[in-house]
Amino acid sequence: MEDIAYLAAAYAVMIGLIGWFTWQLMDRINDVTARMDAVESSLTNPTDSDE
Amino acid sequence: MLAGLLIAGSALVLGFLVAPDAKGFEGDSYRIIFWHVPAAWTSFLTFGMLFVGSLAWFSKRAEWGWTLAGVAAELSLLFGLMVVTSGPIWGAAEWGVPWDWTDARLNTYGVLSAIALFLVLSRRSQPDTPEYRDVFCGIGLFGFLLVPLTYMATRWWQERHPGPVIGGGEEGGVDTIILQIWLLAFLGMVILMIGQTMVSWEVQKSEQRLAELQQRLD
Repeated sequence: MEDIAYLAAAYAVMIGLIGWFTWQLMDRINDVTARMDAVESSLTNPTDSDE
Repeated sequence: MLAGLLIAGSALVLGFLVAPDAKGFEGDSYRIIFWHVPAAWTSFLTFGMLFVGSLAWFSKRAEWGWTLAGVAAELSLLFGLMVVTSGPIWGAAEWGVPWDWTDARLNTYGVLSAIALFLVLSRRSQPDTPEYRDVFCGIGLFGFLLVPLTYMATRWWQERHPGPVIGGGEEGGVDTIILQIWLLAFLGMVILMIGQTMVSWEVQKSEQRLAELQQRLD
């Protein structure tokens, strides 16, 4: 039984790491999209960015 | 990415259901190797990418080299962490201790992963200057030197980590079914790594272009 616990822990950690990496990649995509929207809006409404 | 995960996942299921008991190891904890070993092989590929990217930046000041080095450092950290976390869990089950500071394989791989961690953290905290890029790529080139050293460590100074099973001479060798499952898991991880590289590449390029655009706007 203890063997299974070690196995489960190891695979949970490895799957968790892949999940964490993918999540932070998605987070960066969202961040880039938000920043692009901000640049776009400052280009279309240049007075907003001066305030 | 999903295809890679599915292939690696199916190899994992086969490792539980089909793979026979391994000679020299007691119990089921050895089945950690069905992801531990392919993750280590994949990390050697990502450290190779880090080397190529760093070299391209140093020799040609190539932008693609800088992007590749950044992507490869992140992937090296991912696969390195998979190896240095699953390894000690298996060590605790098999040896009774998670780490052996006298074992060259464990320590060289630990340093390799620490280098990837340093590169990723520094890239997020330091300003993007030519000097910083030189330091980053210098460390990336040095890091790659540890790959052949890590690979050969169990041949030259085997202490506790199991010896080589592929190309390890007469004392090596592995059950054919275990080897096939390993190769299937490796294929899955390489496909996963290629998918992550493509997405990560686009994200890094977009971040760089956006930073340049914002600089021009300011």
